Amino acid sequence: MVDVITKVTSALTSLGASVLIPIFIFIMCMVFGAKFKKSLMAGLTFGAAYIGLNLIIGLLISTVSPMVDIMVENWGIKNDILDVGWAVGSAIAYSTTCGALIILVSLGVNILMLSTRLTKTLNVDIWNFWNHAFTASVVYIISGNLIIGLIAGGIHAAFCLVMADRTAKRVQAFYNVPGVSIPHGWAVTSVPIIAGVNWLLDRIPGVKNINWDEKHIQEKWGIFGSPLVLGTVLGLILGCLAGYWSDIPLLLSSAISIGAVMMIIPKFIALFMESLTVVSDAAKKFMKKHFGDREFYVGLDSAILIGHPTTVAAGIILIPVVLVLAVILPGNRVLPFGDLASLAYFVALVPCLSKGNLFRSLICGIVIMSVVMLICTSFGSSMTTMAVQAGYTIPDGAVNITALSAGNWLTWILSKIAAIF
Amino acid sequence: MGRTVKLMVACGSGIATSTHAASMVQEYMEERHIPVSIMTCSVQDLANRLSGCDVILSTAQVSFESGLPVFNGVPLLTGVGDDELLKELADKILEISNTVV
Repeated sequence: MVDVITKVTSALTSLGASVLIPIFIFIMCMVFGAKFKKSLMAGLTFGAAYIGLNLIIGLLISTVSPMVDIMVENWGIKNDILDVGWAVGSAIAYSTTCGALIILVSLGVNILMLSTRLTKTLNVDIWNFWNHAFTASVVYIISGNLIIGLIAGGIHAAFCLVMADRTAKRVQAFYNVPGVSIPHGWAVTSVPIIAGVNWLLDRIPGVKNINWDEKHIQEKWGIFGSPLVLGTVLGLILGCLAGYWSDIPLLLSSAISIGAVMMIIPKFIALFMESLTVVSDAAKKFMKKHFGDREFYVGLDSAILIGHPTTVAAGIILIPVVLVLAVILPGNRVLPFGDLASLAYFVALVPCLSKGNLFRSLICGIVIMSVVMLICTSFGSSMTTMAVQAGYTIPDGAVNITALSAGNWLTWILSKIAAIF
Repeated sequence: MGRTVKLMVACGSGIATSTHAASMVQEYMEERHIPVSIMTCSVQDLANRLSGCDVILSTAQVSFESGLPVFNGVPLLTGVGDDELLKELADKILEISNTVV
């Protein structure tokens, strides 16, 4: 039986993600009851997105990698694992064997838990199943066993539902989103960290009453919310660290290239989203048809919480903080890059759990990002291996890649458990 | 037929839920031949990207005053109240489209 599974798996894997996953998405859309034309478009769009992503990864690595090499050599800074950002990370996770199967596993877990009343959340945020896919893929790489990988992904999915239930009432009241809960695969793992930091701060006299105001931050520094501007500035900084200041045209053209990469990546990744929107809509209708007769929370992306003024401000202030942290944090090898534009995500749940306090958002942000960077360092070459296995072209000798959003303690614990087997 | 109205759809990242919301709006407006051109961005970037825009639809909170009409896109994600939202949005877009400047 195990032998048959292994053979089927390797036969399917040899087709390559650009063929296999479009077919799989097409079948899944049809099963969930989407129309033929829509299902076909969804499958083909995934294929196109995959090809597009391969181009963008190439551009990203070929632009940044040489600069990182020189920087590491000249300055002795050990930040040689490049953060490519959650968008690229999620697309890689979805392009793996585990990624193709994770939608069924996560929905299966959700159905099981809804019907046994272990959860009240109906998770329709299919896109963020990538977090489960990443967990499944890391565990698969470590254990070499697809089933163990998928079980780990399922555990991650179950954890998300439980935490979504537990935070639902506070999220609904604070953000005024009735009937919604947040089972986002990364956000849920921030809850215990935030609770711990708040517990500690509440016990320090003086500190516990600090409450900063964020009024003018977005007005003054909002320009750094633009990925284009942020990328260009990062390009200038990286260029200077790489000693390009002696060659101004090279410095400027590198800065423009990196700004362009930051601007273009989301446009390409949106193609993946377009494809998965069809799956998500069909799955949403399917789930509502079968479970719509009872009271439940609709599980959504933590993206809907990002607009809170405290979060927007924290997302901007944390950019330089995280860059400094990356250099001074002992043991860290991650070079924050892609996810610097998405730091708000890491503190999305803080305002709701600490009454909209900017000071707490920043302190939680520092603790969270330290944990995240150390975990990403510990994963080392996992995501690079994952990308190569999924058929993406990573040049030999280029830096290893990671995504800060994959720096998840739950994934880390599950991978450590898997390593025992 | 009036002019084409520019709609900016925003969310936390400008990638995930905004693409989802944008594709639902696109389909609805196309079926009704309502002239709209849709772009997406993140809420952090929203203030920098509004030149030429007429309407904002956001799945995340918009924390600044832009003078443009802002619609809350969360119903498109939950599926509760989505038809009402699309109808309101369509009415607004038609109103702007037919306003002579």
